[in-house]
Amino acid sequence: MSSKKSSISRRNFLRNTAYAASGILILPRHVLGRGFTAPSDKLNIAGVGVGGRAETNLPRAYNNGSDNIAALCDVDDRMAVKARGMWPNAPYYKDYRVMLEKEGKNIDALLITTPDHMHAPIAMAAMELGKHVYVEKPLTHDIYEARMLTQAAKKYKVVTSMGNQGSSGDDIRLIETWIQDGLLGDVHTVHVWTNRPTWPQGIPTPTGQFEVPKELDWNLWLGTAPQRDYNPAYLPAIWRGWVDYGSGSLGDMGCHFIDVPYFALKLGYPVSVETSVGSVYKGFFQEVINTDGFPPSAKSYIQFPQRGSLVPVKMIWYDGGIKPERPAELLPDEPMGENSGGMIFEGTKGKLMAGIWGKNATLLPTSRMKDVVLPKSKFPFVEGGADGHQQQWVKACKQGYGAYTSSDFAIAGPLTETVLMGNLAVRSYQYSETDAKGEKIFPGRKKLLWDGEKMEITNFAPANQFVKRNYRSY
Amino acid sequence: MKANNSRRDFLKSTSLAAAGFMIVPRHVLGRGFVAPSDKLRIAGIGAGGKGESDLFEFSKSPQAEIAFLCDVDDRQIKKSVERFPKAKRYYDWREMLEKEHKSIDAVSVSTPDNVHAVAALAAMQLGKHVYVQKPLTHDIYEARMLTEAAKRYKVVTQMGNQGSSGDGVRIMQEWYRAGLIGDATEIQVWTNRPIWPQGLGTPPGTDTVPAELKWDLWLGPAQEQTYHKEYVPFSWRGFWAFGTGALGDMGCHLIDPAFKTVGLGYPNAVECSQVAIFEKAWTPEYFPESCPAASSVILNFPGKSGKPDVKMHWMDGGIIPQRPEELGADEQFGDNGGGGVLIIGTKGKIMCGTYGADPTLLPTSKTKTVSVPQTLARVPEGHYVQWVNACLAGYGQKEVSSPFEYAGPLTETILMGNLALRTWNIRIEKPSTNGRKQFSYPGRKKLLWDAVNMKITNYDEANQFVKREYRKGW
Repeated sequence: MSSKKSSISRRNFLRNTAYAASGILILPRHVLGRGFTAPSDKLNIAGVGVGGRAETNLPRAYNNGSDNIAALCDVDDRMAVKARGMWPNAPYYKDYRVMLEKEGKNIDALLITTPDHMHAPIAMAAMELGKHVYVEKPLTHDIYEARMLTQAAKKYKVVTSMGNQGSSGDDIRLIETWIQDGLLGDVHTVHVWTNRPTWPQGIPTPTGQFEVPKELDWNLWLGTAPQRDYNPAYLPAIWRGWVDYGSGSLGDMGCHFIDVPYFALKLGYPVSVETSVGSVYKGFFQEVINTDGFPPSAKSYIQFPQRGSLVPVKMIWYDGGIKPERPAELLPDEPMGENSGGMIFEGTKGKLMAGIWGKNATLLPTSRMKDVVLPKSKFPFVEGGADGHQQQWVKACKQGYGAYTSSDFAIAGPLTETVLMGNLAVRSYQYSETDAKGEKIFPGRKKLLWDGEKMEITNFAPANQFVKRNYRSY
Repeated sequence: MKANNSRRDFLKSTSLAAAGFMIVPRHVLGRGFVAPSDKLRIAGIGAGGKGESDLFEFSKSPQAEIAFLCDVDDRQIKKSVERFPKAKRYYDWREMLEKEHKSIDAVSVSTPDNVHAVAALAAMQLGKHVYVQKPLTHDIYEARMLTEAAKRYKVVTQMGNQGSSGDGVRIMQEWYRAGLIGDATEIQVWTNRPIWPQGLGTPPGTDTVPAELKWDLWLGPAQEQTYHKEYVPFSWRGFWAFGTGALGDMGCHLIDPAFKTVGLGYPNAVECSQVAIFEKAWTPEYFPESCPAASSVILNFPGKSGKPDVKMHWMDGGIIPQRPEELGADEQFGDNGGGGVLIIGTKGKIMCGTYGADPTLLPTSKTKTVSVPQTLARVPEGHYVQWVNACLAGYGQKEVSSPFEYAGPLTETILMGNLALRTWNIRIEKPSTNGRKQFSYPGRKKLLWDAVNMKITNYDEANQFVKREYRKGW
């Protein structure tokens, strides 16, 4: 992509963000000077979205007071109860835009744990102010947003990390070492599966009129998403199944599983994607395709090209209960993966199976673990492993731009794009048109070819609507 | 010895024996079972829906006479009664066979799956030729018994997989025998079935039995259960008590072309996975009585005479295989949405649709360039009249496309998939670690099948699905 094109698209992105729309001044980083480093050498962290997963993220970043929780922000008071109890002196906001405006000078970094659709607008606004960011997985809701955040991290020179904590674990480093040491030969196929969704998908869009709970600012919860009436069916957590807010099984678990092969095999941008999904029938011959939501299950094929000396890789993703075939080397009674899912690497010289985050990695047949001398990790372990992921980011923030994090946006961005490619395929698969005879047709049910640099499906134009959303001004 | 014993049990337990009917050896019947008029007098058991069209198809032969109609539901039989006003009507096939067996030459069974075997065996024991809808039986054990009975009672048999009389299956066999794709190593088969709601559990409540329906007879050998309108006339397919799910519905139509082309026999291993249903977040619903909404089943067939093993991968409920490399991005994969078959050989690939329709070599351009001489006779008279003619000619005189010696192992293969799907749902409660009920699923592994002894050898619990207990009195 030419740099000219890039800056134009970024400008469009900024114009679209709620941040720009609300007229808040975007301060260049140099204006802020060194003021953003706390004199106390504590990192001043603002939490945006402070319930649920943030109840783990924030305490780990806070680290018993070695760093400072400087501000809290949540659109739902009920979700903030615990965090506000823990840090009663931290000013509390409902709107991150107001928080950034009022507390900008008191904040060094943001830890963002909102629903997926708000990750990018909040992270971009923070980065533009020179704040370091930790963003829950998936990094963004859209492929385009992931590309923009990746570029912004470089441009604004901020320390970044995505919340796929397994990327700080020992296991991923071991697998990376084993594969790069050639234990599997040339890896050409990777199967990845999850038991997600573990919430209803493939269901009708919720209806009915409900009063918005007084603790919740529904307009702010919606943020950049299209206007829609409040419905308790969306929150908390189960927004994941709805395309306006979440990113389905892939968004929930993709980053926790796919990061292992992505790092180990240096996958980069895929070149094509193909999918099929579990159908839903409400009556005899009455299929229901609700494009507001993700389907109950999917099986997707994501193809990666030759990368230097590395052979092309086919990645197969399974969710909703559908699993890959058991490898021939796995004995009939041996478990495959674990309850939440698993991964299997197939190479010219062997196979490797592991659980989420690369846990319990084993060569196949499992007896091979006793037969080979396993190399020690070529990569230094992260202090605290996966549980040290948040602290790793905090320490890196204090060291400044350039300090290593396990999942900085330079890699988390392309990883997230890959994960979201699966969703692009699923949404294209569900996309229908009416033909001349008045029949419903599904023209997106084919192999979609992807131009990674241009962020474009080249053989099915309607698919490109799923690369980038339009934001609502709110 | 063992097999004999079980076969005897089976015979003893059939309604026919239980109801005190005498089993008349064929030699006693003498030639009396061939109608003097050279007409084949057919009794239709199950005369609505598919049964209605089956009987109509037989009647296209001037030598076929639809002499008796039997159905447990006045609504279902209506059209057949109008079409064949001279045919005498019964509700209970046991009564019909007892009273009319001297006036019946052949029986067509087109009931729900759970009644196929008992009705067919009773007819065969009386020396009647039988045409039985697919799948041949509800249980693996029943399929084996019918296969043996066809030989023992020397009757002409045909399963209702009408595609097996089509040209497509024959063209594929000719291609395969000519070595166009080398030796088959993998077969992929998929269907869009179920195209009715499936995986939802037993419908709640109970309805009043309609005046037109004899519910007790509809249940047949199935266990006592209160009537619900959802079961009749079609959705019984989705419940293991009566039906056999997507595999039972379409497996015989889709697996048949591959089974015949490659010449498969009994499988030796099976594994599966299936979509989980979440009506609320985090805890999956548990509906072991329902067939799943989507599934993936992998069967292994041992290689014959030095040939490689053949792996068959079945997918239903919307999940389909990856498009083969040789297929153009915009070319149709299998049927237009309904399903398809892909046979992968050491030297090439054959693709076809449901019923063996549109056989194609891949790449599709190759299809036109080959000319393999026709070695197999076509069936211009069609599947139904073929059976009528064979019955008139007598046992062993004329070829039929899907006699039980072939349809039996094919049906067993299909039902092996169901055995795996049902074994998948066997669960054992284990000590809870989180206050919620937790279970282990010991059947979620590769199941090894001893076909000769009809037994899963590495998980005994699975063997409950080889053979049902019939309701008392059946």
